[in-house]
Amino acid sequence: MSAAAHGETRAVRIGKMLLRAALLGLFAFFIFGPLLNLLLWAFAERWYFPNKLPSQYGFTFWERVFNPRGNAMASLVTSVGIAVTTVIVCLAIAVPAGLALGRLQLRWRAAIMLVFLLPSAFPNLPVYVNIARVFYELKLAGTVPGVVLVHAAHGLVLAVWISAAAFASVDKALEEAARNLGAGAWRCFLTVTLPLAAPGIIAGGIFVFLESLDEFTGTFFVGVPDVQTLPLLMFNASMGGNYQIASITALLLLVPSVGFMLLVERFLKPNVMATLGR
Amino acid sequence: MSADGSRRFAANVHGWLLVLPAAALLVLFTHYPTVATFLRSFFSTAKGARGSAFVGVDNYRQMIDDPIFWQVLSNNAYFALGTIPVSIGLALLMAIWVNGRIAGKGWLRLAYFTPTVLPMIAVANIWLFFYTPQYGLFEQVLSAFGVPAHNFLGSKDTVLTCLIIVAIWKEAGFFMIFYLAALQQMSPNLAEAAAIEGASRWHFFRRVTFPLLMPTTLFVLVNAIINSFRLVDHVVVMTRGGPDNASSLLLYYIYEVGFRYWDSAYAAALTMVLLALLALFAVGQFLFMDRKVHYR
Repeated sequence: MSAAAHGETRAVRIGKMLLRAALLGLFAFFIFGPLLNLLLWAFAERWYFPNKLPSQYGFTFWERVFNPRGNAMASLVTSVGIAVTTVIVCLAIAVPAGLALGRLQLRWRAAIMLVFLLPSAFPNLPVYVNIARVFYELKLAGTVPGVVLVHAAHGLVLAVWISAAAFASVDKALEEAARNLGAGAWRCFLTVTLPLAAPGIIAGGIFVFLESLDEFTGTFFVGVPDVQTLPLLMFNASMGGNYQIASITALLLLVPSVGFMLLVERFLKPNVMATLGR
Repeated sequence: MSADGSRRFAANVHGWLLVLPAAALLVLFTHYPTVATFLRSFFSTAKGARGSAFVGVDNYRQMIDDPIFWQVLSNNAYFALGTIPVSIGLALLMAIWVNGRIAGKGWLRLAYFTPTVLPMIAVANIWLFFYTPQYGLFEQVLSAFGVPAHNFLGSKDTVLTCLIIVAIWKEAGFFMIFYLAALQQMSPNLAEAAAIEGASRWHFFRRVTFPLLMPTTLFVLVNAIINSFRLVDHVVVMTRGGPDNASSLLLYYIYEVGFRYWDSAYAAALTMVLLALLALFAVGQFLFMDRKVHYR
């Protein structure tokens, strides 16, 4: 290879490297810039124009949020309580349905799947408005059970899908082996099928938990004014111009989400994800 | 009935009983309200002493003459076209990148996931701060490069693009999860075989990886389309459809008609249009999911 050609490739290589670095920088700013801004607001004590950055940092607003008698802590408790109840209700209903749809040779399975698939396309807002009207008559509006029911209906579609996929991915031969060794249908389900499908079902439960924790529109229409979850608290703080409280609440919401996301990576195996929606 | 037939019948009954609670909840909470909305769209809104009356397709006729409806629809189409290709492309790029052997892979994945797991309402707040004139980091970085100050959310020309960027930020990571799962299922033998044959990386991607990812791409595409018509939190928090309806999307317009102008009948008719669009995409997904997209 001649020296000139070698020099040219080196120049090209450096140019490529610079381009790649610039793209990476842009990409990093795109992903992290907004989050950095959020962090600034969470710790800003004073921030007036024309200061580029907050003129004073501190924890005053954190103290206000974490005050045990403050409404932020009460919202957190309400949010987590609603989310846990929603997961229990949802899984109790979704696991049997998932077993039937993922495992049994059902007649009209396609039609049933369509019933379960369509709601994922429904716009939530008009649905919530109608539910709010019905709940108002049933005296469920503004109550925790009302909000749980709305969240459960919302999370159910995904929970059924994921548990159907999880049951479908369990190897039938293992069940047959258990039956051949004399296990009854119920015992076979409890000791073979369910444990093998458990990672997928747990992942589904985690998704439902997160959806419930983050849900805003449904809670807004059904829960107001008596049920205040964290997203509602954040919305009110932000609309009231209280950026610090809003930022801290957003950070609070981020903690369980990221934690559970890490768990999902463990539980949700690629072969389950790949059968989703099939 | 033969013994075999009756056993099959019993199995079916078992199955349906298992499905019943889930189906009942869904019918009660999503299908029934939707049917109620459909019926309502043929009646007038009750005003004062005058009750609601059957008006046929009047609400739909009103829609054709409503300039805001058409503007909102075109806004939404623009929003979808701006969001979908970029977020899917980015998702694929990130998935391939994270799937490779690079240092700090775990952290990189976490960084991509973060926007996805944040609730939309929080995302909207974060970007509201980011875009804020003068204080916002976005403006500050731009001014460091000599770009003049500009109220991005307050200008008709830029506001929709701002919302598109927010949606891409939120969704690309979510789609990446599905691509990543599909990539991890792919046999490494394929890449080895291609390397032995001397295929370039680009050639391998175009002829092997991309076709194999087709089912995932379709799944992601349909979800992206549906999401672009279903998301509304960011509009509520960041712009409220303004300025001058420049950032109003169909779902936000429905909310405005129903809750600012209290015209529930017209809102119901608008809802049916949105629903028809979404149902079309969902049915398309259902029909195409198992066929045609698989690599053979």
